[in-house]
Amino acid sequence: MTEKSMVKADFVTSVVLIALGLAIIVLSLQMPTMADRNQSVFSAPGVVPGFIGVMLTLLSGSMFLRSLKRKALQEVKAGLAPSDVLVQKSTRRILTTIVMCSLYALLLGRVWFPIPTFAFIFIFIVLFEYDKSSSFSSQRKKIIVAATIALATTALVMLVFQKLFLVNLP
Amino acid sequence: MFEGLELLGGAILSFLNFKSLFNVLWATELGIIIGMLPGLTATMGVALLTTLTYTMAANDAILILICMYIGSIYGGSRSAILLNIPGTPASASTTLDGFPLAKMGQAGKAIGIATTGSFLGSIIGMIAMAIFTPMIGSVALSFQSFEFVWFAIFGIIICGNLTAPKDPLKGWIAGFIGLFIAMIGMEGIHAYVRFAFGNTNLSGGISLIPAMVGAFGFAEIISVMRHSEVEVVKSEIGRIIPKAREVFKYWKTIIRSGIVGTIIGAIPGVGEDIAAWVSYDLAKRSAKPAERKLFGKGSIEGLIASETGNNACVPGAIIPVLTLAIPGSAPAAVLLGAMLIHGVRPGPLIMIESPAFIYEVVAMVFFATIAMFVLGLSMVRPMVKILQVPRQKLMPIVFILCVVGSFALQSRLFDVGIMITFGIVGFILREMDYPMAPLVLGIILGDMLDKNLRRALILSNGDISPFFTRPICLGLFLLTMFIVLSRSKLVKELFGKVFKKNSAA
Repeated sequence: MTEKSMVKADFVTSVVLIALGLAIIVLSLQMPTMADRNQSVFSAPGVVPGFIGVMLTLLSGSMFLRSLKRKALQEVKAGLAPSDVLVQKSTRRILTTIVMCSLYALLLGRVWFPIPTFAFIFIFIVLFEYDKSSSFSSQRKKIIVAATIALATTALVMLVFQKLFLVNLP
Repeated sequence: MFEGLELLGGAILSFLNFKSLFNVLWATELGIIIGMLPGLTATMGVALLTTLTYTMAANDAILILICMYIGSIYGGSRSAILLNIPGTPASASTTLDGFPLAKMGQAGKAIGIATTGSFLGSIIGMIAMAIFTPMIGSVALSFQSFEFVWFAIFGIIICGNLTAPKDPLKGWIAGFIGLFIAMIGMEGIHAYVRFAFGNTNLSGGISLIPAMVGAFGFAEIISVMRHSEVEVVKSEIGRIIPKAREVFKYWKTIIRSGIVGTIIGAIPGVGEDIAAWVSYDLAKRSAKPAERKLFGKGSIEGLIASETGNNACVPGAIIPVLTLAIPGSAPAAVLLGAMLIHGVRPGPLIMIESPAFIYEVVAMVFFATIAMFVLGLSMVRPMVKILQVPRQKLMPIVFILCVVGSFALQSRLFDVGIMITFGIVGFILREMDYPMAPLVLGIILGDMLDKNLRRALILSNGDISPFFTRPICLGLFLLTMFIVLSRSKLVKELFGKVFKKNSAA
C-alpha cells in the first residue's frame, strides 16, 4: 500500500472506529446499573466496556486528526477507492482465495463433509495452476495430480481426526 | 532452592517413559515442519494441536504443545535460510544472514549454526524460567485487583508499542479492539449478556482459538497465496554439524541474545519476531568492525544472534503465562488457552495450588529443546523436499485444517464463521499496518480487566486513588505513561534513528 492510500485508509478507518467507540459508549450506558438489585454501582456491566469505548474513541480521534494533518481530505476528494491496490495483479489472487475459502465454509454443515472438502481442494489447485494459454491435453497431468491430492487429503483428514484423535467433523 | 531442584528432577524423571518421549519426538518434528512452511506459523501449529489433543491427559497435551511451539519457532529458520522467506515471522531476521550464506554454498553450515543457536537460546531461556518463575510467582501472590488492572492496560500499551514500531497508535487501537471483543458475551459478575443483540452464539462469547486460527492461520494463507512461486536454493547442503570453535567464538553474543530474548519473551504479547530483531540489532551494534561489515551479507554472528534470540523468547513467554496468566507471545496465548481447557489454572495461585507444575513445564521445555537439537541436525535433506511442495497445493490443505481445528473444540459452525471473519478482517488490518498481537492479547486480558477493574472500584468504593498510590500500581502507571510519552513527537525525534532502524529492517 502506498503512502497516499494509507492516509486514505487511516482516514476511513478512524471514522469507522470513532463510530464504533461512540456506539460502545452508548450501549454501555444503556446497560443496567444493578443498583436496583442492591449491588454496587461500580459492579455494573457497563463500566469496563464504557471505559474501552472512551479509550477507543480517543485513540481513533487522534488518528482522525493526524490523517487530516496529512491532507486526507484532498486524497478522499480525489476518489475513495484505493486505485493503486485494485490494479495490482495480486489482488485477484487474494480475492480468489477469500471467495473460495468462504464458499467452502458456507457449504459445511449443509452437505456431507467429504464432498465440499474434495471439491474445494481440487478446484483450488486447478484454479491456481491451470494455464489458459496452453492446451487442455498438455495439462491433463496437473488435473489428475490435483484430484489425487484432494482425495488423499479428504480421506486422511477423516481418518486422522475422527478415528485417531476422536474429534468431531462439521 | 534445593526443593526446586528436587521438583525439577522429579518432573524430568516423570517424562522418561516411552509414551512421553514418543510424543516429544513427533510433536517437535511436526513443529519443525510447520515452522518451516511459510503460511503455517507457530501460533497456528499450537492452536491446531490444542484441538487435536484436548481428549488427552493434561500433562501429555501440554507437553505436545510445548514441543510444537519450540519446534516451530526453530523450524522457521530452515526456510529463512533456504528460501529467503521466514517460515514464521520469528525468523524474519534470520533471512538477512542465513540466505546469503546459503547462496555462498554454505547452507549446511548455516542450518547447523542456526540449530545450535536455537538450542543454546532455548537452554538459557529455560534456566531463566526455572529460576524466575517461582520468584515472580511468589511476588504475584500479593497482587490485588488494582495491580491486575494496570497489568492489563500496561500489557496492551507495551505490546502495541513494540509490535507496531512504525505507528504505535495502531498497535494501541488494535489492543483496545481486542479488549472490546472480549466484552462480547456473558460477563463474569452478574451473568449479564453484553453486545450479543439476542444472538445465542454471540452470548457465549468469542472463543480464543478460532479467532487466533483465523488471525494467524487464514490471514497467513491469504498473504501467502498473493504471490506466485519462489525457488528453493539449489545449493549443496554440505556439512551440517558445526565445529564447536565456530559457535563458541561468539559466546558473548549467545549469552546476550539469550538474555534479551528471554526478557522480551516475558513482556506481554511481545513475541519471538521482536526478540530476534532486537538481539540481531544489539549484536550488530556491538560486533567488531570487521564482523559488522558482514552483517546482512552472511554473518555467522548475525545468524546466531537472531536464532538464539527467538528461541530464548519461548521459555521467556511462558513465564508470565504461569505466574500471571498473561501470555508473553501469540503462541503462548494459545498455550494459556490450552492450559485453561485442560483444567490447569495458571496465575498467581499456581505457587500454592500446584508448584510442581512449574517444574513440569520446565522439564517439558527441556525435552523439547533436546529433541529440537537432535532432529534439527538430522534428516535435513529429506526435509528440504517438503519445502519444494508448491503453495497452491499446500494452502487448501492448511485451510481444511484451520476449519476442522476451529470447529473441533466446541462442534459449532459458528466458530468456523469466527475463524473466517478474523482471517479476512485480520488480513485487511495487517495490510493497514495494524499488528495482530495486541488484538489477541486484548481478547485474553479483557476478562481480567473487566473483573478486576470493577472489583477494585467496589473495594475502594469508587475511589481511584489506590490505582496511583499502591507501589506496584504507581510503578506500572509511570511505565505506561513513559511508553506513551516517549512516542510523542518531540521525544521521538530525539530517538528517531533507533526506531527507524528497527522498522526499516
